[in-house]
Parts: sequence; C-alpha cells; structure tokens
Amino acid sequence: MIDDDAQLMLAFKAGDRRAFETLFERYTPRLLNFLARMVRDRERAEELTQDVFVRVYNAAPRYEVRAKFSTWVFGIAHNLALNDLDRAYRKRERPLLPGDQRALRDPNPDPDERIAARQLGEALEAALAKLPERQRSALLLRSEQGLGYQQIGQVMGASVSGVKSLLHRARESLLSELKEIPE
Amino acid sequence: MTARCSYREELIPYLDLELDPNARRALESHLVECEGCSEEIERQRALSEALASLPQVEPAADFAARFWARLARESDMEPRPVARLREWLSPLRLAIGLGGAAAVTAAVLLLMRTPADPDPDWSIVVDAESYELLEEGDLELLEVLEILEEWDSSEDI
Ligand SMILES: [Zn+2]
Repeated sequence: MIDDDAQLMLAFKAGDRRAFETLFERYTPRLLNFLARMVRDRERAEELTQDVFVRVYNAAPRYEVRAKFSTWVFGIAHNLALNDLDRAYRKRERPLLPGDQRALRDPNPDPDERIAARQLGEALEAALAKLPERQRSALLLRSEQGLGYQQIGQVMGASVSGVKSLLHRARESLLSELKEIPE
Repeated sequence: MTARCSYREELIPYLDLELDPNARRALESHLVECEGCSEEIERQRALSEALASLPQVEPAADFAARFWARLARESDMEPRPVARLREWLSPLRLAIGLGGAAAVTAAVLLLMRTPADPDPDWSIVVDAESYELLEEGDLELLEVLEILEEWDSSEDI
C-alpha cells in the first residue's frame, strides 16, 4: 500500500508542484524539531531542513516508492544530521557536550507555564543533548516523530533488535539524568 | 542480585505499541502480578509523556520565503511560486526596461510571446498601480524578482 505522502510525491513527480508544497508544509515542523534536537543548533537545523527539501525536490524525477515516504525523508535527515555533527566536530564549531540549551528555546515563553514542567523540560533537553547521536536519533524518531521500530531501522540502517537496544540505553541514560531533578 | 524478570525487555516495546497481540496480552497479565515491572513501566511511561510534551521548535518567520528563493537558485526545475511570479512580472519588467518610469506610469499593453504559447491571443495590462503594489510588496517578491532578472539576462523575452 502506498501512503498518502508517497502519493503526493508521485503526484509531484508527475508535474503537480502543489503536491510538493503540501509535503513542504507537512514535514517542515517535523524535520525542524528532529534536526534541532539532533544538531542542537536552531539556525543550522533550519538550513538542514531546507537541505532535505532541496534533495527531495531534485530527487522527484527518479522517485520510486520503496518505503514509506516518512522513512525516506527521515533517512535523509538522519544522514545529514550525522554528517553535520561530524563536520562540526572536526571544525570544533560546537561544544561536544552542549551546556547551553537556550538556542532551542522559545524566546517568549508562556508566563503561565508551570515552573516544575519547565524545569523537567529543560533537564530533559539537556539530557537528550548528551545522548550518543544514534541513541538520540532513535529516541527522537520514536517518541517525537512516531516512527515504528522497523521504520527506524530502515532510517538508521539498523536491525529491529538494534533499535530496541538503542532505545533501551537512551531511556536508561535519560532516566538516570532526570533522577537528579527534585519532584 | 536476583535475575531480572524476563518481561523487562518488553516494557518499552509495549509502551511504543510494538508488541504483537499475544505478547501484549501476556505482558498485561504479568504486570498485574509483578511489582517490579509495574514500577518500571510507570517510570518509562512518565518519560514517554515528558518526551511527548517537549516544546515545539518553530521555524523563523521567513523560513518558507528563504526556502523558495533558495530552491529557485539550486533546483533542477523551476518551482511553482517562481513560475507564477514569472508570469505576472514578465510584462512589468519589460515595461521598466523599455522606458523607465514613463513607460510604467502609462498603461502598457503588451503581447506576450512564450515558447509554451507560440500563438498568443491574449494581453496583459500593466499600470502604475500594480508597480506600486510591487514596490510596497514584501521583500520575498523582490528577492525572487532579482533571481528572475539574473536568469532572464541570458535569454530573450
Ligand atoms: Zn516482571
């Protein structure tokens, strides 16, 4: 069965430019959130999100449905994120372990937001940022983007049991970091 | 240390909706009688909820505009919004090119000739009003216009 988004991509391939605009609108928030938490730099995440769409756009003539559309798109995003982290590491652009999570935060936070929730959110962002890249990617793809284990395996080039193991280790690290937070 | 309960490995897949029906039923029966797994699954469930409620990262206000402009520069094909603008703006640019302000303030009647339409029988009127609209218009439009100008410098209108 061909999913809705793959259907749109086929329509775009056949010349319907509006189908691409729909995919752009539909996937911008998802890709941006995923990439921002992967590379821990909001502006860079915007560039990478655009990189993904440029690739999708240019790949249209050769596009064939081999997997879910989201698997393909997040596969591109995952690879771009890992390449970017390698590049940043070589150039020492960003600290290996980020101390500053403000880059990701809303500059105008809701004043009613409960302090406890915000503290938990901040601690969680910080703990996420410290995770090894592949654990972080697997966890974000599952818990933020709703991809299934098999899909995540295809995105990352891992087996389902490999994905399970990445998720297990990621969650253990997060929970032990968050234990430090007072209730 | 006692051996870990054999169901432990299934708690996260359970929360992630990855268990098949038989495994799910077996785990749910087990959770009723195993305190350790019940506590662990609550811990993991709380984490799932916290992950699900992370704030959304919003794109900058000009994100889409920057993307379409970039696509016009980098893509192999001509994107739709640019194609649309090109249709609107071609006669206008010709008018500006021909006679500057005078040509623009006068209403200009143009016959368009495009490769896709070798036998044009339609016309477009461009007047000062639409030029002013463009001037007041957003930067995005002007940016795309500039890109079109570059492209068109190498081809006949
Ligand atoms: Zn148990």
